[in-house]
Amino acid sequence: MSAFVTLQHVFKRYQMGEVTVAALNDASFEIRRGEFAVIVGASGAGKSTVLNILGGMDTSDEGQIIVDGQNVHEYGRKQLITYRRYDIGFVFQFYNLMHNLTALENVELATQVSRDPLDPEAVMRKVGLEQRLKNFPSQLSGGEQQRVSIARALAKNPKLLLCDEPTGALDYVTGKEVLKLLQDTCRSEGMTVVVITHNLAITPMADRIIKMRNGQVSEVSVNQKIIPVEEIEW
Amino acid sequence: MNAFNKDVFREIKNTFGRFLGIAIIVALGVSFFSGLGATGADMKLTGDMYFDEHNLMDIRVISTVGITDDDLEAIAQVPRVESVHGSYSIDTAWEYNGEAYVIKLHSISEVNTPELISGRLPSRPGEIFVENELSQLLGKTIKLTSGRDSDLRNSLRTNLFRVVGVAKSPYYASLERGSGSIGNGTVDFYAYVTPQNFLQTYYSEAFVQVRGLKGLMSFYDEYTDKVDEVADAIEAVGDSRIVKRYHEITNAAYNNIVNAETGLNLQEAAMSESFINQEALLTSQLVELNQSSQSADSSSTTDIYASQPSVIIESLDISAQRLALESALMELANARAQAMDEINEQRDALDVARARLDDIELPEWYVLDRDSNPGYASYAQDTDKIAAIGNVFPLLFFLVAALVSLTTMTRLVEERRVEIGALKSLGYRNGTIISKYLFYAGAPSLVGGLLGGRVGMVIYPKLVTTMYSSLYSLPPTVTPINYTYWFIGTGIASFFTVFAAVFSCVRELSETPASLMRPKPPQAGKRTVLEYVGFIWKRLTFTHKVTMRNITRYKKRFFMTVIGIGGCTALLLTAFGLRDSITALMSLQYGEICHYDMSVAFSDTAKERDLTNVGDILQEERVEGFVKLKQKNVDSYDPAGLYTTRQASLVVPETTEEFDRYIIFRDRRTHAQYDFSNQGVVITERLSQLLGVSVGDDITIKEDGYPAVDVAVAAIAENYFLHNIYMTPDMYQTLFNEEPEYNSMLVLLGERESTTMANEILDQTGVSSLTFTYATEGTFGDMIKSLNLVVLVLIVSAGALAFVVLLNLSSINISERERELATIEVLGFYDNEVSAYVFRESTVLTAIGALAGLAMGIGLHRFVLMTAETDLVMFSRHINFISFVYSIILTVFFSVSANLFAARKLKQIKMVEALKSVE
Repeated sequence: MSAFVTLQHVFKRYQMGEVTVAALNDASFEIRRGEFAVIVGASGAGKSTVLNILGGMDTSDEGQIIVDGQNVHEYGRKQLITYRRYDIGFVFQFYNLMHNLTALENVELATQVSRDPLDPEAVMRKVGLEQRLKNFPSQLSGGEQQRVSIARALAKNPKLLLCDEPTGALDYVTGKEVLKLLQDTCRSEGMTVVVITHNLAITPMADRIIKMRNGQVSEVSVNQKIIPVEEIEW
Repeated sequence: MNAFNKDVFREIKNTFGRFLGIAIIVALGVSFFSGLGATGADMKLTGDMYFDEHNLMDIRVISTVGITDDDLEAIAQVPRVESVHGSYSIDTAWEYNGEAYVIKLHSISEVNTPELISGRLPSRPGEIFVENELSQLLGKTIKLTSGRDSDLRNSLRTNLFRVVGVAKSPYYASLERGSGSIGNGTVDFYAYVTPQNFLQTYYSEAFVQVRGLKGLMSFYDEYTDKVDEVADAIEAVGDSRIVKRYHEITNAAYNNIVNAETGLNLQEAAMSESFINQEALLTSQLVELNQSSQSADSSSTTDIYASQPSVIIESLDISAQRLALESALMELANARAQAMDEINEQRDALDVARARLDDIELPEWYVLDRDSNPGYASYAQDTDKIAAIGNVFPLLFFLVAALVSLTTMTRLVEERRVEIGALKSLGYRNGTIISKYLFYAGAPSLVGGLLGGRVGMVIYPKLVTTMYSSLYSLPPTVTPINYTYWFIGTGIASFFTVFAAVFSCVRELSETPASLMRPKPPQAGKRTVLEYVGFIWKRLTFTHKVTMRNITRYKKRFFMTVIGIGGCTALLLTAFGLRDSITALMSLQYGEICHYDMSVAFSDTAKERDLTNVGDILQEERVEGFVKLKQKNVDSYDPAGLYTTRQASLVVPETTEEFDRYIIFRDRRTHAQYDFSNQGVVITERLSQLLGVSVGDDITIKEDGYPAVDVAVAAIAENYFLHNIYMTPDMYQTLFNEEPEYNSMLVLLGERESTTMANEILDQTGVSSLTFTYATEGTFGDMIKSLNLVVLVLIVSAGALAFVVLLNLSSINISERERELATIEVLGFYDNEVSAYVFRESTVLTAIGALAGLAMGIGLHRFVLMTAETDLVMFSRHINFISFVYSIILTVFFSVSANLFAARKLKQIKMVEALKSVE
């Protein structure tokens, strides 16, 4: 099976005053279709930069980012938006829901711009929030909000689901539930999921583990012995 | 410098744009507030300095019988009268380039000292100075006439004057020259000569200066009160003077009558005596004759034959003598009767004279203050208007400035929430933490306010007064520092920003440090009322629903936008509305009220047959119609006091029948038409406002050369230019005891070709001028053009206002909701979709604001009209439909451009950072 996502020699530099900082310094890895990949590393290792570039929220300076056969590195501003619009689903640490919209409406916000969206209510049922459709984010718990956020990403029917520290703001139990939801989605829908975390403890549940350090990929390993989320302790 | 202070200054340095923004908006608001606010006061000060410098009289005394030296002496005795000067004046006629003008000739005195422009002041009889408009006459000699049948040299030493100078008099500060007793009743120019030129035995008026008033500002109550006290005292003096004066005049006349009567009596007595003597003589001769004829008869009987022929001759002779004597007696009796008739006739004449003398009323004194001087009064009114407008318009800008700085400060404090929490947890006292924001808000407000106020106080008064400079002959406006407006403006502006800072700080500080350092829970979403109206809500697209929610979510922003946009629309509507009112004025005045096409004025010397001649010409030309009028400028007073006096034109048509073909009397609102009435006069609306009278009240009319009369107001008619008082000829006859002397004509031309006819009419004797209505329209049109400048200023400031508010709002809107916008960008919204998401909101707010603004605009328009109306012009309250459309379109335009400007910011949103940050 060939790679669904391929990063080759990707560089990203930031100009900080007079100093140039390389956030990504020749990073390369690949992820296959339907895999649950985890990118781990300490703060500042460059994992968020990878995710941002992969998600079309930021551009790379050098290298190739091939997603489903397309080179995202060459995309212009408008193409990047289209890419985000049709191909990418994002889940953030702080949910980034619209506070003015109910849970269902938040999902609809995403589906209305998608090409081939899923039924928002069905997705909400899938994430277990069928009772909370009409609630505003402020009326939901953190875990519920993150589920809405996942539902919003999924409803777009993206090619790639990118999650940036999805459990970072959640407690232990809730965090586990969210990770389970992501893993289940990956398995049942065949969705390619990329999760960023600094928590090494959750790596055993992933199909592929990408470790990063100082803007470079230090190790890529394919997990032979996948442990279900429920059994992971940290 | 400790770390806390360093933080304050770094904060300013890092957010300098915002810091500067507060300073600029406060500077703008305060400059407008203090500048326009001070303008009225500055104009008053300029006027006061000018009038003081040129010794404008404080009180003017006129009398129906003139002022004598004794009168002056009596006035001088009144306490606090500094000086009193008698002054002469006379209205003279002057012909120049074929046109007739009226020049009011004054005598130079120490009050109302003229300001020399060129040449020199007159120093001997036969020299004259003229006003600036006649400066081309300098060095020339002008010939003046009386404008009546009499020779001007009965009143003046000469009628030829050499123009030795050009000067202006503080007595004529405006373009108005007052009313005159010759011509059409209007004075065209003024001129001054030395008092020696006048041959009158009494002064025309007395000018009084009151002691201790130079230090007081004219126009203000303190000055007016002091003047009123002295004026009252002078009136009291006047009451006794008029009685004395009355006796002086009447006693002499009575003595003359009594002397004449005594003379007649003596004459009669002498005559009777001589008649009696002559009669006696004749009678005695007759008796003698009879006796001699008897003796002759007796002798003839005795000697009848001897003397027969001689006897016959003798008897015949006697008969003849007798007859002669008898006829002489008869003649004597006749002559006597005739003489008696003559004497009785003279007696009757004396009786009539005595009766008329008895009828002479007490003379009257009018003690008038500066408000009766047209230039002074209209200047005072204009400054009041400026002050009124200067207090309202800036308020709008001020409000916006306060709102803008308020939102800026609130936002700054909210952004620094975590920092405030950190400082608090470090043990800094609340007061210290607040002081940072106090300084951050206070410093730019103070600096901006003080700078802006100072600059505004120079710029705006100059700007405004240039618009008035063509109307008044006053020196350039002085612009002293007006500390009141300066400090109040800066104070209020600083208060608002500092209050906003402190208020938000206190709100934050009331929380515990721990909760402060936790992210602030975002404002919860709420359902809007609209959601419960299912059939509407279901029809809204998804993003429209979001817009509706967002609008109701941020109340503060909602009101700020609605006020800002509303203010913009209101200003625009006012501006366009002003233009409409001014234009409507023309079409209403000359399209709906005045229907005559031409008016012909006759000179004072014109005879009845001159009018008939012109009438014949008009009839020959088959014009649609014409009517003869008496038209005369009169002074009108409200019955309560003499102090509100307005000049109006008294119009008495020869026939009131079908007068509505020429001029329509109607109510402005209901358009109900009125007719002439013998019960009272019809007066024009603006006059009724100025005199403060309504239907049924009395007004006093004083025509030059006639006693003042009181008449009731029968109706108030719509009218926009000048003041008219319409009266029936019957009523005139009753009031003035004489037929009105017609001196003008209104003509309906119909389809008649007019130029040749106009020339023919102008060639007739007695015709002084001929005016086509369309020409009048043109003149007023020019005058009104200057007002267009005001309209432009309003439109520009409205645009600036809208732009400032919307730009501020959009940028706050965008930066406050960066995260939300980043989210939808991540979701793959295209740029235009993101813009639409943001700006749909401001579009709805603009719509609401614009609608509110239309309502505000109608009110503002009305207010501006009321304050800007001059005495002679009344504006129509009407606003055209298209002006509403223009105001809306311009508001939308301003709003869209501000949004486009802000839209650049949208692209600069850093998605990644916005989404990563802690909420």
